[in-house]
Amino acid sequence: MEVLASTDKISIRQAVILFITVQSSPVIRIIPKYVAKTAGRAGWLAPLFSVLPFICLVYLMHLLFKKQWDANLSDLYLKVFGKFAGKLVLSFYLIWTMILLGFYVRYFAERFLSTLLPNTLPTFFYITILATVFYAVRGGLINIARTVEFLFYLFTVVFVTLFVFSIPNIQFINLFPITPFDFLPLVRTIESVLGIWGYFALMFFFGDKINNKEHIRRFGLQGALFLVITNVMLLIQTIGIYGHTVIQRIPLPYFVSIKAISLLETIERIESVALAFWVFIDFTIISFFLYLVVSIMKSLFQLSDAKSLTSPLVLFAFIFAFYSAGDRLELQQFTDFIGLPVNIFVCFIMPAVLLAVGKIRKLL
Amino acid sequence: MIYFFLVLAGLTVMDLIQMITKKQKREIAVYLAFMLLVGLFGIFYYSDPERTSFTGLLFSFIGLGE
Repeated sequence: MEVLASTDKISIRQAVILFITVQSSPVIRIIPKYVAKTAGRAGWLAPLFSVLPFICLVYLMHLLFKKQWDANLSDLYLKVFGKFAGKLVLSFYLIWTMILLGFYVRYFAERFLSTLLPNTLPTFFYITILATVFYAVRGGLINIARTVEFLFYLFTVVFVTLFVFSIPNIQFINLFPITPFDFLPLVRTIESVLGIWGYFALMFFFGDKINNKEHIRRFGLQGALFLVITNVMLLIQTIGIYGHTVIQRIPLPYFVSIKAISLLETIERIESVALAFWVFIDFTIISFFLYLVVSIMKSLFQLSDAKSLTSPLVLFAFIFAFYSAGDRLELQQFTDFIGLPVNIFVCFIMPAVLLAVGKIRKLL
Repeated sequence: MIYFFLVLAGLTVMDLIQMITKKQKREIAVYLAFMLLVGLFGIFYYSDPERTSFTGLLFSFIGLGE
């Protein structure tokens, strides 16, 4: 483990690992369906297109923090936009991240309800995950980052192993041919992938808890490479096995592709392994958003210690998980029509505006 | 509903004791305001759990609803 410059902070490397784990949950749920629908059999190339704007985001973050490595994104908004406008922007971020927190709790329960435990009350899943996350976030960011760092390697091994086991089921007719006509649909898939990869920017709302930010570029670009490879593997595994017409119609394509794995016609039903790791990445994303909301509130209300605010936020997430959507269709529609576009706005456009205004006012 | 408010009350008491010990006046004010809002949100939801969901409301607001 890396030696930390400050013991109460995480390193940028741990932060990037946290981000990669955070994006896994929505990527696995959303991307195969979305790219299959938008780009058909060429969809598996979508990450290669999305990585370019993501690299721009990495450079954007580097430029934002270039002169103030100890700041966080909230500090920069308040400094560049002024107190009033800065607080308005932070309030918007607060509301949006609280909404996402509630939705991710709901998604966690929906995954179990639609796969292994359809007759269980969602309340059971909400209480289980929120109680765990409550204690994790109260324990601080370092504990979360170290746990995630350890489990991330295990998760990667499991992911790669499941991909290798899936290779015999992949049919190349589902992935090829790719023609020049696929170019524009592939460009359109950028919206979905970037709507999730944009969480990289949100991470800097607790940027004051991240050490060695001068290495944002280095670790950000390494992270980008990892994202491209794993996302392409995920898409080959889903679109390659069932074809784009099937993938765009089934609710959890990755889970279904795992179900198809059969080793020597004796070992089957290993989807429970994938689901166990899915719990881990859901735990990470819900912890991430809870910590993020607490960090924004701390800056917005100028609090010295915001740890106690985890209690009202956990209770809010519990109620909002019920209230967020009536059924799975509404959840899906929220993601497609509202979630992804707003994510791009808050994660890409707003930081770009921040940088532009900061440079014009010579504050960054 | 009753369990939700029991948990809410329990957490409030537990957190308030900690914050009062540390003399965090600003934190207490923000905390109580948020707890109150969450309590009201709880009453709003539990008074009619079958009401139109947040997504449904949002869709009808932006004109994407039926």
